[in-house]
This record gives sequence, structure tokens and C-alpha cells, in this order.
Amino acid sequence: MLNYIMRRLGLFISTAFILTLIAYALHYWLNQSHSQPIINGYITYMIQILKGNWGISIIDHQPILAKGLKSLASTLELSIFAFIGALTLAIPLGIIAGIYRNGQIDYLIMSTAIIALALPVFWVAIMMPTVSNIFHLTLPIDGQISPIYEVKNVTGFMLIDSLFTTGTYHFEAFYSRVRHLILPSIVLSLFIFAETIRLTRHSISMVMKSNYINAAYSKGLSTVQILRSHVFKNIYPSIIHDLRSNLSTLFSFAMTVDIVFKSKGSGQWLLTSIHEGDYIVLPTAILIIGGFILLSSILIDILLMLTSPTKRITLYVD
Amino acid sequence: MRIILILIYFFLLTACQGNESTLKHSLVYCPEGNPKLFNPQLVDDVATIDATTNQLYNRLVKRDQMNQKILPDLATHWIQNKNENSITFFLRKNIAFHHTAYFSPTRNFNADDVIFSFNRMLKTTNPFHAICPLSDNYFFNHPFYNSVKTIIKIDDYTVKFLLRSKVQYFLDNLTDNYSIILSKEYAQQLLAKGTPKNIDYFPIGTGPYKFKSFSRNNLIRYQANTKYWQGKPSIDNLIYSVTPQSIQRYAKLLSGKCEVIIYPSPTQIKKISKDKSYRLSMNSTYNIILLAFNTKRTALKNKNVRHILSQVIDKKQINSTIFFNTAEVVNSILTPDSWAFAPNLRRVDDPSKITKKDLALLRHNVSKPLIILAPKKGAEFDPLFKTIAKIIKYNFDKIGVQSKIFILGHIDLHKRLNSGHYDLYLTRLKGNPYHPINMFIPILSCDSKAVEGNSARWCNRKTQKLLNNILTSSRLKQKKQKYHQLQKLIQREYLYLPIVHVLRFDVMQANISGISLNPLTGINFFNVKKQGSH
Repeated sequence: MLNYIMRRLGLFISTAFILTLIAYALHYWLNQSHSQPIINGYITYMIQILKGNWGISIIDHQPILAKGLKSLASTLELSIFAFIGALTLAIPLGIIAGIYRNGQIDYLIMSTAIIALALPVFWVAIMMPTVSNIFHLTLPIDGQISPIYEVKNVTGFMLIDSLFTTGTYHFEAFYSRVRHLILPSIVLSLFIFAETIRLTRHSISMVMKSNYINAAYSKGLSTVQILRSHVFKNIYPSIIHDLRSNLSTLFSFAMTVDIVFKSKGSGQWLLTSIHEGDYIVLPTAILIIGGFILLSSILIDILLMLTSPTKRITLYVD
Repeated sequence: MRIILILIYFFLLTACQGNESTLKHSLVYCPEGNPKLFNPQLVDDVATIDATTNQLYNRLVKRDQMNQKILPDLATHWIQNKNENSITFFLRKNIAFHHTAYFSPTRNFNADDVIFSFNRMLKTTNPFHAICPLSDNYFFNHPFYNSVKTIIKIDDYTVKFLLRSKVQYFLDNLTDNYSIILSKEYAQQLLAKGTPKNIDYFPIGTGPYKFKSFSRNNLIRYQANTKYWQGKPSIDNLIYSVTPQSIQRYAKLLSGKCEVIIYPSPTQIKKISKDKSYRLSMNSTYNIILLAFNTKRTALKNKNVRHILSQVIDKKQINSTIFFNTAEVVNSILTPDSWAFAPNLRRVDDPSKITKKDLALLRHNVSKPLIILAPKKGAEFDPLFKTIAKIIKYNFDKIGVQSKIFILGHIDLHKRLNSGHYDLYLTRLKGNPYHPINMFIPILSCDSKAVEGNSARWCNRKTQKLLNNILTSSRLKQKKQKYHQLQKLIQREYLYLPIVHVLRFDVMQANISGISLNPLTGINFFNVKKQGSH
């Protein structure tokens, strides 16, 4: 167990090292004056990073780290919101498609999923306000929250922060935030939705073919009973594992959606910084976003190892 | 499962309908850009002036928009001596400066604040004079350098200005955006704390709204000044939501996220003017887009060549294709609302009048492609220069004159202008309706460089004399005549071809009233009223 975690940690550190090298290379390239040799420069750079001095934006003189983390939180909030929405819809559909594999209903679900996967995110994002207008839904099409509400930054997650303002606005600020999340998260969830249906269907049909399911049928259990007691436990590790590898894609899509919907997430932050010539933000963004994806994928690995027996095999491989 | 989800969404949707406007005492205004800082003494771009002059500050005097009379503001009244070389202001008592999270005033406004505010601009020894990198600006000191000798404090509520210029000229300058009153007490506190730069970024004034917070590219929050001497404004929270794209501002107006917007995209103006739920306001900006002819270039030395080229440029087409007829085609560099405007200037553009002889003359003179210069960014009229330049090029192509367009950034543009290596320069001229001489001198005087405005590189003894005459003459009628002569000269010699006068458009929801707009001091939200919710 400890051995496994150490191995993961080793992997994390070595990847993080490469990440800092890339960030430093950018930093070195952007800085005009080079007073130190490269290696010494890297060491001083790393010391500053570890101390928390990630630099100050040349545009608004705010610390870059704080701004970067805040925008990361905004993008994360959007991703989680979209993720939950997509999973609640996609897993049942995937299961149905998997059970009735190659049936009419399967074709219907799968063609919907493939169409959803084929639509480019930026295009759907642009079309979304028009589509919502056709259905007479007056939903906000840009920003994080109505500017009327003044929400203090506590956790960086505006959904949570807006709950701290119930004293002045009741739940209005919270509702406003939710309303602002709906359209962008629908756009973002299309990709997760399609991907999850595909993965669920695949794993279901794999599991349904196996001998222990046949054995369960011969015991006289109904399909629902089999699904509940045998199938679910066996499909979720592979679904989560495959979704993990889509994490970076999901995040880059979330950044695109950020830009189109002008919410103050990572994408918008990076874009405006580059537009205004605040290039010093680039290495910081690489560290924050890259570090986040690295950390979360390793955490998912450890979580999977703890919960699923099939993945625990890796524990004994040395 | 799906049904639950749909129900949740439905619940959220219905619960939120209409909640956005429940906070009746907030107003959201969507400007195009960020203010550079919060002090209109230093910069004069639309975004900064709109965010500061009328909202945060007061001036000694202001101008009545209807009859152009000068009215008291922080000064109750004033007297001038017979020689017209000094003026004494009597100040209003019991005027409180803003009480904010970063400053609590211990005393009311008095003569010290007036002297401090003007000395910041006038005296290089003032510790705040050069504190801001943006203070290296024409407006920061010029108007008062020429007109104010010294300022004397007679008592706490009486200040005397000894003048170099005429009183009227000085008073006119006092009504402008840069003549605001700052707090001396606040400045001294900042100096003691070692953060004097904050004076322009965390503003303290006496105006109807006080500063709360600012996040770049996002929001400015102002709060009503409950102690405002003319009464508390009816809006508690004034919010500026910075939205750079015109189409997005329009979308936000339609969805109710913005209640007032500046510059809707020109394509939408016709539609908005027909829609009864919105009110469109149109104002002069004194901004003229013009084309300068470099008179020192061999190709353009001949006046007739400049004439033919002027004839070809289709101003109407520029107005219709770029401004969707929302600008005003002009023949003078002064806008028609200025007192010095010459009304009987003729229209120049008429390509049908070009004869074969003219074309032969062009072929003889213009051997190389003409170089058309244009700035990359024209502040509030952003990408337009490029398109206007393209139309001009197209017009030239039609009569067989070759041309090349150079869209240059700030630094390269200045280099080019200094070197004189250009034929035509497309630019914007910000007018001055009260003292047009301030715009004629830069563009016509021999002493003025191309970068400072004389991009026609015009230097002529007669013109110089005319300019001097205006400066020295005191009779209005004479002055007016001379201004008319100058405008005719520009047209007769084809030095500058005025193309259009750009108008400012603001759109507000129909339930909002009381917003006033002044071309020089920007938007004013003091009297704004909001009726019910829409």
C-alpha cells in the first residue's frame, strides 16, 4: 500500500519537475535581462515559487497566483456543475444502451451521443444563446453573476461564496450564479455526456458477457437485481479510469466555454492577459493548470485503488 | 432520474425569474473600456471622464447645458476686477468629502483644497505633480499654465486667482473635465503613509457618488454619497460593467443585464430608435475624422492635385458603410454646434466634376503609389480607421491613382510622422467648441510638429498672422470672422479634408430617466431615476 503511494508520489514529483522546467523555460524566455546562469536562475525561480511569490501582473498590479487560483476555481465550478449534470443523465442512458446493445433504442442513444461528441464546443457555445432564445428561456449569456450582487471572494467558488451573502440578498445572489451557470454547463456537459454514454455502454456490454452474469441469470435473478448487485460495482472503476484520461480535454473545453461566455475563468484570464501583453501570466498558468490536472489524476488513481478490487492488483506489481 | 433533473432546473428557473431587478436601487451602466485612473485632471479619454468628473467630483463652476451659461458649483459666486486680470471665488460651506473605507475626513472642503487641486497641475514642486506616469499630457497643465499666475488664499472660504489670460477664457476652462477639486487632507495622509500614487486610484471627491471598488475589465462599484450637498442620489449602487464589444453590450441591454449602454453597434441604431422600450440619446463629441494632405511631398505640392483627390473621396459612402449613417458628414473641422463654425463652406466631394485634364494632371504629378497612414487604434472609434482607409484607397483606384495603406501602432506612427515619409494621414481631431484656437494652432502653426497636429506640414506667413490676430483680438465679431477665414483657408488650400463628425450614442431602458450628457465632461448620473421594474 505504502509502496504504491510512494510510487505514485515519485511519478508525481518527476512530472511536476518537468512541468516546472517548462514554466521556467517560458519565464526565462519572457524575461529580457538574464543576470544569472540558467541553473542558478532555475533554483531562485523555484525558491520564489515555493515561497508563494509567483509574480505580480504588470497590468493591474495584482498577485498572479491569487488571480490564477480564483479563475481556476471558477472553471472548476463550471466543470463540476456540468459533470454532475451530465453524469446523472448519461449513466442511465449508457446502461440502457449497453443492455439493449444493437437494438433500436441503443442506436437512438448512440447516435445522439455521437452527434453530441461531433459538435465542436466553441460552435455550440456560440449557438447556445440563440437556441435558448428559441425556447423562450431568458438565461444570462455572459458573466459569472449579475453585477448587482457584490460577492466577496472567500473560497473562490462563487456558488459557495454567494451563500455567504444571504444576509443582504437572501438567496438571490446564489440563484443568479446558478442561472449564469446553466447555459455554459449545458454546452460543456455535451462532451462529458457523450463520452460517458459511450464508456458506460462499452463496459456494460463487456460485463454482461462475462460468466458470473450468466451464473447469476441461471440462479434466477432478474436483470434489475443483477444490475444492482453485480454490474454497477464492476463497471464504475473502468468508467472513472477512462474519464480520468479525458480530464485535460474537459478542462480545455471548459476554458473555451469560459471565453465564449465571458465568465472570469481560466480561459478568459489567459486570453485577456495575452491580449494585454501580460505574458508573465503564462508560466504561472502552466504551473496552476498543469499542476491541477496532474494532482487530480493521481488522486483519482489512489481513490480507484482504494475502492476497487480489480485495480488493487497494481499494488502487488513491483 | 431525468424528470427529477428537469424539475430541479425548472424550479431554479422559475424561482429566479425577475430577481435580477429586485434590487431597485442599483443601476448598471455598460461602458466600452476601463478608466485609466480615477482623476480626470490627468487623462481625457471617454471611459475615464465618464467614470469620474460628474460622479466623483465637483468643480468650482459648471456650465448649463441648455443656454451655455456658467453656473456656480462649489463656488457660490465670484467677482472679477476691472482689469480682468484676477477673479475671486467665494466657496460653499459645509461641503463634506467622501467618507470611505480608506479615508475619513476630519474637516470640510475649504480654500486649501482648491489651491492644492490647481497647484497639483501648475507647480512642478508639488509632490503630486509628476506622481502619475500619465500626467505627461497636454491637458494636465497647459490650459492653466497660460492663464493662471498665482492663487491666493484670502480666507478659508475665499480664493483669488491672479490671471495671465482673459477671465472668460479661464472660466471656460474651469467648466472642463480637468478642473475638479481634490481633498488636500487625503493627499497629505497618503503622503504620510508613503502611498501618494493612490490619490488617482482610490479617489476622494465631493461628488454624488463615492468609490467602492474597481476590478479591471470587469466592474467599478460606486455608492451614493449620503452626505451630498445637493441631496442624496436616488440610486444607491452605481455599477459600471465594462463590456468592450458593442454587440455584446447590445445583447446585455436586451437581456436586462445592462440598463444603460454606450455606443451600441451602428448596425443596431435604427432598430433601437424604433423600439419603445429603449431610449436612444445622441450627442456631439466634437470628434472629427479627417484626412491630412502632406503639403511638403512632391506628389501633393500642387494644390490642384489635393483638390482632385479631395473630390474623389466619397464621404457619404464612408458614413453609410462604416457608421451606418450615424455620423455627420462635415465640411469644416469645427462641428456645426460651435460658435465659430463657418456655415457657408461648400461641399468638396463630387467625382463627376473631374475632367480629363484633371486626370492628366494627376498622372503627371503622382508617379509613385500614395502612402496613406492611419493609427492602429483610435481609442473609442476602434477598428474604423482601417476600413475608412480602404474606402479611400478604393476611391483613388477608380481614378487610377495607386495608393498603399500603412496601419501603424503608436511608436511607429510617431516615427513616420516625424520623418515626413507619408502623403496622407487619416486621423481624429478632438475639437474644442469654446476655444477653437486651441485646435487651429496645433494643425496650422509653423511651430507645431506633425506629431502635435500639423500633419499637413503647413507653414505660411499669412496663416501665422491670422492665428496671432485671433489670439490678440478681443472682439467676438472679429474673432468669428477670422475663424471663418481659417476654415475657408483649410478648404481653399486642401490641407485637411474633414470627413465625418462622430456622434456619441447611449441607449437606456425606457424606465430610466434623468441621465444627462455633456460632450466635454461626459455622462452624469446624479439625477438618474428608475421607475419600477421593467
